[in-house]
Amino acid sequence: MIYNLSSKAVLYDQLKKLSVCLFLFVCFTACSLNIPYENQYSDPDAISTATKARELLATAYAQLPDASFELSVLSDDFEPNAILPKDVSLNSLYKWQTLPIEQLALTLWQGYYGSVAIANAVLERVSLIKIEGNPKERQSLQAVIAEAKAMKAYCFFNLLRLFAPDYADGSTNEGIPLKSKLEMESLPRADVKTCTDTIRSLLTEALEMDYTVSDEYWFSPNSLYYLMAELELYTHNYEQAAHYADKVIAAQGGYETMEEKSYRTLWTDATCPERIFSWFTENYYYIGINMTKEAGDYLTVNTSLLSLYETEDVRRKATVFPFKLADNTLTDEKATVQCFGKYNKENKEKRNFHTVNRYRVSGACFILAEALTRGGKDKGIQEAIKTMNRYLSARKAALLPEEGWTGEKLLAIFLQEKWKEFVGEGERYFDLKRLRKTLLSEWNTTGAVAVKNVKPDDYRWNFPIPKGEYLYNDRMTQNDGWSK
Amino acid sequence: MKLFHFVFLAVFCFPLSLFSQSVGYVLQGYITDSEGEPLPGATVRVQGLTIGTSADAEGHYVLSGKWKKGDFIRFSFVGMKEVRIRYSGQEQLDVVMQKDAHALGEVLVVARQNINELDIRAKSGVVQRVDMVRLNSKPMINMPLALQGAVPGLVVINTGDLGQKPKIRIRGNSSFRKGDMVNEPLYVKDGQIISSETFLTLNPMEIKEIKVLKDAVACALYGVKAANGVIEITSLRGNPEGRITTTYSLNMGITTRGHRGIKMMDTEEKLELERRLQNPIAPGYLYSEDYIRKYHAGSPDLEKMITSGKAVLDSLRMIHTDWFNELIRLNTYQNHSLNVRGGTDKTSYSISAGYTRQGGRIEGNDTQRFTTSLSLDQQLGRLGYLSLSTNAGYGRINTPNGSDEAPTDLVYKLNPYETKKGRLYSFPKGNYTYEDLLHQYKKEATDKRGGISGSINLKPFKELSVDAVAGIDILLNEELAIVPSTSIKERNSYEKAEALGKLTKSKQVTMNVSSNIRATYNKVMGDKHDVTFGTNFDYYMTDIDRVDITGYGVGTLMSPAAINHSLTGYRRPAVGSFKEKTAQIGVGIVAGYSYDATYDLFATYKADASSVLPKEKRWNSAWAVGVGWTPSRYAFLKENHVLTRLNLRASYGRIANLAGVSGDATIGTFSYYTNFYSTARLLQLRALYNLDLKPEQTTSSDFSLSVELFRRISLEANVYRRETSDALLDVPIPLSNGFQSMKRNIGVLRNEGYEFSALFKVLDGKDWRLSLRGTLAYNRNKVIDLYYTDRLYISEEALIPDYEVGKPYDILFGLRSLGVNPITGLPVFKGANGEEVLATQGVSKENIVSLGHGTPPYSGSLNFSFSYRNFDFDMDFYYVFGGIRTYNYTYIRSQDKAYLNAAKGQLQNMWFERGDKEKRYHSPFYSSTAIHSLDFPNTRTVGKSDFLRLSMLSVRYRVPVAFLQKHFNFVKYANVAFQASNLFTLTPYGETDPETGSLAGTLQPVLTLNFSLTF
Repeated sequence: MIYNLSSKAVLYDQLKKLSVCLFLFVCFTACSLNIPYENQYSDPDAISTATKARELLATAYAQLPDASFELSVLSDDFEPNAILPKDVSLNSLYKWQTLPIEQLALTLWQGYYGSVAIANAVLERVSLIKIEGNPKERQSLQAVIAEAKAMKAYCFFNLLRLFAPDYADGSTNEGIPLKSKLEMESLPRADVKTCTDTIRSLLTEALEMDYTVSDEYWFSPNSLYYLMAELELYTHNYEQAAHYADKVIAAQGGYETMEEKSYRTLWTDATCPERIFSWFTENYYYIGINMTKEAGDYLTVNTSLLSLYETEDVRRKATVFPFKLADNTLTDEKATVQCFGKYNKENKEKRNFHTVNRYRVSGACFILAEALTRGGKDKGIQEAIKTMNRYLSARKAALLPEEGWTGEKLLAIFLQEKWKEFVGEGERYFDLKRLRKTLLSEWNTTGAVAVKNVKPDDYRWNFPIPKGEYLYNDRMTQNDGWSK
Repeated sequence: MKLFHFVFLAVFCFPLSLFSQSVGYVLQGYITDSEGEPLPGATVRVQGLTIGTSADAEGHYVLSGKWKKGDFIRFSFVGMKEVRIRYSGQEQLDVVMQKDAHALGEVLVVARQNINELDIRAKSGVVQRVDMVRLNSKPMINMPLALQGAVPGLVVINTGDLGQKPKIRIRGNSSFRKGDMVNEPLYVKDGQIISSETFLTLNPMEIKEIKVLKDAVACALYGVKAANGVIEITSLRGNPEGRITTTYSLNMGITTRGHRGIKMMDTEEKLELERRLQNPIAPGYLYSEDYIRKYHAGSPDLEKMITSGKAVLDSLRMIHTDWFNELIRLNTYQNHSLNVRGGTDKTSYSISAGYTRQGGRIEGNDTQRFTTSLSLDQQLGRLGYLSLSTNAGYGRINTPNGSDEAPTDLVYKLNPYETKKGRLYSFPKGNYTYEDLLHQYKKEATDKRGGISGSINLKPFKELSVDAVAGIDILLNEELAIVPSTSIKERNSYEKAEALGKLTKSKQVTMNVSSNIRATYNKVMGDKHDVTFGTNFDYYMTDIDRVDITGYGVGTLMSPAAINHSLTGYRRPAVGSFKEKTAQIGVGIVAGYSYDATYDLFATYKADASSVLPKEKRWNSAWAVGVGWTPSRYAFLKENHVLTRLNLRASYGRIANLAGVSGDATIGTFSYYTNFYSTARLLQLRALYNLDLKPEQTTSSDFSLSVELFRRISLEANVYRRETSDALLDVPIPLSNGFQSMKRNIGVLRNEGYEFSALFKVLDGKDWRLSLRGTLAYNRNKVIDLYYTDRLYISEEALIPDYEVGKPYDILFGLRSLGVNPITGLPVFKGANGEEVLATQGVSKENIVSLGHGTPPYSGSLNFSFSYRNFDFDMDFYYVFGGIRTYNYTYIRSQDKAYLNAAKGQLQNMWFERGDKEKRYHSPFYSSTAIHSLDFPNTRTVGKSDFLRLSMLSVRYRVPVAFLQKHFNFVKYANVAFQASNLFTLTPYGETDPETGSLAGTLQPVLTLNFSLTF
């Protein structure tokens, strides 16, 4: 009995020890709350190297909006197929109805300002990165800073062209808000002049940095010159515009870059010497034109534009192609239709691509030709014709006679050639907006595009400030004509 | 009886001859507490002998053996005063046990798995128990859905097809934010926090008790995690009385098609509709005389063409396929459950295993679950208890729904003149077969769960108890899904043949580790003063690790090995991963005082810290105070036979809530995704952070009253109000900031309501027992203040503010319809000043009115229980009312959709030509997307979403104990029952399902036969 009792006591003792051990074990099981995330980096040490800063800036590039198709729909690039009414929104956009324009304005505003925010975030953080004596690292950091500034300039310039009245309508008109930091703000719109000045100084600052880029998907110094040329043309500084455009062409390798072979690779990922800056996309691109495999495309190339191409013109081959619909209720003959080419052809022929053209040498030729013609210099017109003929011969189109032009007539021809070059790429919209009161005032008077009932003084030329901006920003003003 | 005997044998194949007969007394009855709640596990013994038994889940016991008249029968249950009754030869003996406030010190410490379960808490807070017997009577694989209507204020909403996680809320949302992450209650099993996904996989047969904690006093012990209430689950434990009890239960039955929703057209009506819609893509027009005469007027074979057209139509007229019956199927349901419990007063154990399979309504949809659990309790002498529990489970869900083209939708698309083998007019352009249409998507999801937890409950001396629990819970979720190359979606893509067929596979491991230590000091002084002090410390860690792969080119093969790795474009193989580890620490204190069980006071404070927040914002607090008053304890009321119990409780508390807030909302945070730009990875800024962010603060006040009259009628009423200040919301900010929204503290909201329940024991005799129970819960919410504005629009397109001061925030807005204009065939709406507004006019803010509540504010249940001798009859109804739901009208076909089947009655109710009056549907020659005003719901396109569902029906026969004693004395109890769930739903809502709005989501009726044996 005594033995029993003592053994019980021993058991109790042991159990007590065990309990205490367990208790302590439970108490001290890793209670720290400083748990870093595997794949999340927080300020202040998140952006600590030039590579990280570049990867952050890459998100600004990736989220740049693209409205090449939608802007082409608004312009006179396309005419409708019978199925267009089935996509109510696209049909309404074609007719310049307000609702789809509001939606488009929202996408563009949101996308460009998204990239501006990231560029600001990059600029705020790179100033804190300490680099000690590594020249390579210093150079990559310089490139990031220059590109972040270029990114802001690029976004502001596009926003200005879309949302503000054209420069010719008055430089004191309201432009766009110029965000300069990441922090949440409610900014008012700066006037057009302030906007163009800001863009110019951002580009100048960027160009002061000595840097290079690895491929055409980043803002190279030459692409900044292109942007500068565009800006100067927009602000009517024709001499400067011609200066920069000339510089761009020379730096890219001259007019020889525009050979036929190079042109044919423009819609693929193959290297193309003509490209100055391209946008990289991970997603299917230009699929909005297509309804289904069975029904085909909603829109096709404007017949009046198509009739302008000469048979040998390389641009024509890129612009249209025959395509067979997968509708087994139709005969082969009825099922074969003429479709818009370029990116659409790549999609329909089941080839994937990542490259979307932004700036190419031919674009610089048009800036140069227009700036020279408008510049009022003695030999301006001759120089312009020379530039244009170099371009036209590359595209296998008929050359312009060197004599007998008035400035106005010549500019109209240039714009027509530009239309042929850039059909479906959204460029035409900006020309229409810029020149709707003068050279291109007749753009919507004939053919299928006559349904676009917009006069040169129509309010819809200036896109509406999205509700998502003015509903939450008391200092924001709406463009005339649009509802608040 | 012989036949029954035979069936019994045939079913269970147990040898009879091995057992001899025995004689003696048999005594049976029910053991309940003073509130009429059964006391499962209460022990019954004959004093001085080894004869004993314990009560089952309904509190029913059967004691058999040899003893004498005049012997004492002892009834005991932890925390209750022991009852001793002299045996006088009776057969039925029902016992009501009284709480023993002072007994706990003397009775041995009992394995209390949930160490937060302090009795003092329930005296001033709102803690409600789920009736496990009723829950187990519902043949349903989805346990949370079976909880629908179990406790007033616990709202469970079905969200989709079989196997999907339902939406569970306690007393509505106390946040502006939506979604499970923010509004879900906290789940605690045996003191250990478990994820809602784990809760979904539990087997109700392994659960002893589920408690729903609603108010601040009840929840404050769990701190900030419990801002949305707590569901406490206690699993079955062993039998300390020394006998081994084995229970086997079998449920087998069928699942039926259920509510049909909208009726579709038969052949005759459909062909006529096609003729009137005049779209030659549909045979009803293409082969009609109208069409042939119009388009082939000059043809020499005109008459011949008309005749052959008529012949085609006549052959179609012969076919009458009811696609609801073809596609929606009967299926089977089975459930096996085995539980073994036993032990001695030192060591006890419980082992369970269960298997359930439920077949879905459509081909390819089913779910099955296998679970096991083991628990072991070891008495550590007079020092305390040591417990160990382990559990494991396997679940599998197959579903064909997941793409835009769900097979259930085919019920509404396929025409009555089509057959499975014949030509499919409803999909005219591609070469689709019926089989292709059926296989648009396939997903197999499995979950494998395992957990272990240990606890120590020590009582070093009489007044002090120290408890600790620690456990780990691991859940592995695997998913494999395919969109085959033959599907409509893939065929319509512009991809090469070798890139068709999309496959995704994912694996996610969720690990929860939790530990909780508590010390409680309780002392009773002078027999009247009961004082409690306590402190606790808890730690909770979650680790989620996920990997997924997406690949293309698999064709129809459901295997990652079939992915085409040569693809380089958009369809290149991709790998994604996610890893998140978060932890929380909490420290709390409690104090309680009770005077003579008449006055109760309770106070608690808890501080919590979370690893997701930056250091300076890490700690948040929760506190609560409560009082309880039981006037029926006063001497002058004690002997009263009318008012047998009266208790009032009130509580007030404040809880900080940070659920759903992650670090990236408070500080600049970047992360990598699978996207890239050129050759660079993308390091994305996750959100526009708010450096001034604070947790939201919810204050809640609660008042409750419980009354018992004549010991027969119990009434309980609760009124509550929760006010959340600094409420968090992702609010839109000016878009020029580059982000659409930012998390901000934006205002104050109020969420209030009442809950009422009544139990009436109508009959309480020896042979007859009848009780009725009803519950009703009402919840409403309102925006009290918005800090930056009076009206908040979450979407730029919204014409009506999502949140407006003084208004509730679950209102559905729309237009007032005046019907269809007989001239134009388009709807006309009523303007703000009574004027007519045409459909083609733009929609203006002024014309929009409130149509009703999107979430029904009222819900409740009605329960009916009736017993006669060995028969039990139970019925549960669940109801909701006060809400509306929009009809989506996809089954009304316009001209361009003429080839798809349409809802019955469209022909009569549609406007076709000028002069058609009083029509319900507008002209088919307009696309509804062309008219902006039709995007808004209107008074004619919404219906009441009220419904009454017979959620459970059970008829049970308890095989008489005497019979079992005589013939199968190895069987202690045997039950045979017919059990059914979701038998029918009554609703004024005219389209599909009023709860989910989809046919795939309709709850399936399950009819089963149940056998249950206890050895």
